[in-house]
Amino acid sequence: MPRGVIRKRTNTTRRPVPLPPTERARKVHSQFKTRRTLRWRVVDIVVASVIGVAAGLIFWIWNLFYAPVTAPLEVVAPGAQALLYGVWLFAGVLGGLIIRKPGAALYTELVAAIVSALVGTQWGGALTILSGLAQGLGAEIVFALFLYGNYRAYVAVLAGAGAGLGMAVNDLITWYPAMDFSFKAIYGVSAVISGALIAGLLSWLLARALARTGALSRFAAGREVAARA
Amino acid sequence: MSGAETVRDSPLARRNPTVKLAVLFLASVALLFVLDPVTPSVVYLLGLIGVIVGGRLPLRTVLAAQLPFLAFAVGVFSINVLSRPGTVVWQEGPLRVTVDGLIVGAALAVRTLAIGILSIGFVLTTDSLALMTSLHQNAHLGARPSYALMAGYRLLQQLPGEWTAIRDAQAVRAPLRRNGSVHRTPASFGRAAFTLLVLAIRRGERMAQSLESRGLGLQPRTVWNPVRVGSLDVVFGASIVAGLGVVIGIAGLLGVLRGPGALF
Repeated sequence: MPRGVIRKRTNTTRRPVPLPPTERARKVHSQFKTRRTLRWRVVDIVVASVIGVAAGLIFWIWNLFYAPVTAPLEVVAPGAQALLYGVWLFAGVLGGLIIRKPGAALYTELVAAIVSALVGTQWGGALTILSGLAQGLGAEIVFALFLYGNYRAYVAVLAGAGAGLGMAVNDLITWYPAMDFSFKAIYGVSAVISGALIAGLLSWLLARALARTGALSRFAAGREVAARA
Repeated sequence: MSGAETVRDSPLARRNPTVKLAVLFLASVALLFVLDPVTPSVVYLLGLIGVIVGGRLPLRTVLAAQLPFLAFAVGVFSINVLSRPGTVVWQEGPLRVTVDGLIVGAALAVRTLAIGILSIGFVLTTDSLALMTSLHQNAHLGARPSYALMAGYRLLQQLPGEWTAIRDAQAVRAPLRRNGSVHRTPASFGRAAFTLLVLAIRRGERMAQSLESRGLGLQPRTVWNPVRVGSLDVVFGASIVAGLGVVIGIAGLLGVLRGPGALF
């Protein structure tokens, strides 16, 4: 072979392309099998509170606008106004999806209810908090049924539906005890559908979008998305 | 936002927040089982006088705070009046008004107002920081939840400012209309809300770090500003509950009191 000619490399073992340090860190990080613990860390409880507070403010804004928005539905079929009531349920599902600890859904929904009650709602403090309790419990039971280990989209949808069921039971007892059966049936079915779609599916999409911003890097919910990316 | 303002000194404001919260909760639950228009009206009037005198609040503030309750009461009243079966008083096409509807509707509406005035009295006379401290010390809420709630409350005070900052930052880059004003869409509103959520979570993580570094969760903790349940607080709580009992009792003796059975 004449000098000066570089022989083409023939063996096929490729050298790894050097990754930028952040990418390398991400790969290494995702390989850690973090042991799943159900104990609340400080960051869990603070971020759950923060989500609850932000959701409480959103509830408060929604409290001001919901009546004119849902009134047309009520005219079409009494009880169908609950089709949009899922907005009140997203806090619990979102909290459960992000924190992934027992009680997270209940706690987040309850904090949101307390905040919106403190800022002022038309239902009176204690009754607003009671609704939060019933709605959060509905979502919490679903997460518990999956042993706090499954946070896929269908679980989120089921948790939303559970929250909707909790809302329907509470509302029908507290606010509409005297309505006839068809109203109660329409209200209940609408609440469950609304919970599944607005609170369940939308919260799942929201949690994924939040993870993509990197804001959830201290949570399993955030690391999962980072590992997939 | 009522929570962020400072609370005026008054006999009601000096009472222990946990005691007030417990009384409010008890009264709301008790009123849930009252379904005649007269009893809650009396409770409402007594509550209104108590809140204005005991809380040294201007009548205007109290009435303005009641507007949302009033709107809801009107809604509950009209739904019941128009939809409840019973002796027909007035009929026009598909619309009809019944005696039962009027009575139950008025009962539910006045009940909303009665619970409302008690909640307003609580919110307008309770300092939020004192509430947190009191919940921790008197209601024995654990250190973690109460400090986390306090962190959440701090955030609540900051969020409106952050919201303005985010909207301003987006407006700088937003396309302008021909007259130079910013074109705001519902989508931009959603983007701002999402940014606010991200910001809140990041701030929460930072707060958690600083709380951890200050030894949150270590026992026992000492407090700088102890809140106590005094004998006046006990007298206050007991007399309100007793007053409510007397009103309901007299209503029962006079035969105006009706329970949930009125609905069926």
